[in-house]
Amino acid sequence: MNNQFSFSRVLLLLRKNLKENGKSYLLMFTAGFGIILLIYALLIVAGLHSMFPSGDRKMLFTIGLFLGGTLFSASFYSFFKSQPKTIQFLLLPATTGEKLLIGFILTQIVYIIVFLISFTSIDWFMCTIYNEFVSIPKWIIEQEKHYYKAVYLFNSDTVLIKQILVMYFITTSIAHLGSLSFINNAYVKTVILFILTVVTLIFFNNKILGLMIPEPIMPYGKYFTETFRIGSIQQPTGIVTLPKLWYSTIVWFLPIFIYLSCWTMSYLKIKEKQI
Amino acid sequence: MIQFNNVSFGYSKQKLLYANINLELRAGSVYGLLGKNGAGKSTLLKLMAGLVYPQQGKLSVFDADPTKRDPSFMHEVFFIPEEIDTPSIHVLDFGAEHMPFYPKFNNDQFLHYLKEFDIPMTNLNTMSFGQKKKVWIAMGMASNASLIILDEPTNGLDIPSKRMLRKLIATVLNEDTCIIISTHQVKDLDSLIDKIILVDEGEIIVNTDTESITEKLVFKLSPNISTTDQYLYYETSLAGHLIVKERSLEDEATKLDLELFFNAGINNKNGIKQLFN
Repeated sequence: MNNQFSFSRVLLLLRKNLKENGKSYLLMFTAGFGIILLIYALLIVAGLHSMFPSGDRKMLFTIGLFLGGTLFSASFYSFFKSQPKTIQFLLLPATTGEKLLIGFILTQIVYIIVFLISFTSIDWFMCTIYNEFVSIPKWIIEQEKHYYKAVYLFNSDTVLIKQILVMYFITTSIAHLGSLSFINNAYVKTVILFILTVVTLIFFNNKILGLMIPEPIMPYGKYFTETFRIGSIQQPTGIVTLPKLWYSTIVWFLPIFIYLSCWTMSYLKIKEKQI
Repeated sequence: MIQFNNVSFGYSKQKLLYANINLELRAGSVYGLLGKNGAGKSTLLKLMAGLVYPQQGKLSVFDADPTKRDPSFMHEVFFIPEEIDTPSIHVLDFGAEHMPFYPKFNNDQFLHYLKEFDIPMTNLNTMSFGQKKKVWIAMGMASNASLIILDEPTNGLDIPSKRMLRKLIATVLNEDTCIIISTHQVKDLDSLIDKIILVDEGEIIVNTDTESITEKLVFKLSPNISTTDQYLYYETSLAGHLIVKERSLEDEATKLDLELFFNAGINNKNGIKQLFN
């Protein structure tokens, strides 16, 4: 048997995973779909005499994507609670990369596709109902009537889809790593650790940079990626702006670094897993 | 087939469970791994399967490093744990999903073993613990792996199933296969085991075959205990005194009493070690 990466083995693993966990996935999907449908329906019913709740819709979309995605990722290896299932997983003749790829496909690709299709369908349905039944009050002037017309989510130009997707990939990769790192209460432990890490980073970012770069040339409270101020805060003598390319590179460097680190650590966690 | 060279292992670095153990297991045998609770039997099995990694020393299984968990190594190893947990799918699907990962898996054998074990063709979720365990055993045997590891296989099995297990093990054993059974219930499998590994407090007390044991030891039931005879071990039962002593030229060979041998090994470690190592 080939010890190198095999795509056919990945397909076999994927089929095995879906066969064994298909019912759980279906239940999770039904519950998530039902909750979103119910909340969206309540928002629409409550708003048939008022403006379309586009802000609430954005919130529902974001919470559904993040909460569902991170919960799914953080519970992906919940079977590690069972020693026999862990033994079966670890001794199944497939490479670590192949086993990891199943987690990647399901948490990073399948979930988001299923969520986007589901949410878009619910959104289409709810927007259609709203447009059909909304009653615009008589005192609304012509220029404001467009607030009473539901625009489908993906025709809307207010959704920051790129930023949301980047955040989704990062948070779910952290949740996936948390699932491999903690056997019990993986989600809660990962969230606590994540919050502590972020707070510590922000704190040290200001503190350490404050020590490295003294007050006269360091704009406290500003991120070092933006600018360097020369002179005191009351009377600056100049501002050094970072090159635009450098600025955009730094902005992308951090998410890519976190993302790749999480998946590399996940690989090593599976590779080094002992029971 | 399996070679431990000065292997040390512990669940913490401060407290080693095994220190510098040397052990060799060969194909074509059924090994019985015996030891008290917490002696480290399951850990030894996990080391062989690559489920835990040695802290020191070299361990090779089929000339491969089990800690790498390469697919070519893993399809030659089938581990049946003491506790069983199965997904909620049909028993035939369970077999079908595992089959492609084991190149020597024989589906006809699997179906035959299920039938022999009287397993109902239903969802695994509806089965009892014993039935689930038998499904695992059937799958392990049908995988035709070269190394089959069974951790307490008779736990949860009824009497006909234990008999069936013995039959199955005898059927699949060939000169390329090594079967290792860790058990407390030695009487369940003593007719099958041809090599004994006795572990206690992190050391291998004995690694020998049953023939050597009966060549070197006598197991007897005696109404009295002689003060002049040198016994390796004795215990008192309702029928008299069960005795283990070194076999002399005048003594006839006796049948191996595995339970008595185990007790002798645990209670007179040095005496048994001197005789066999």
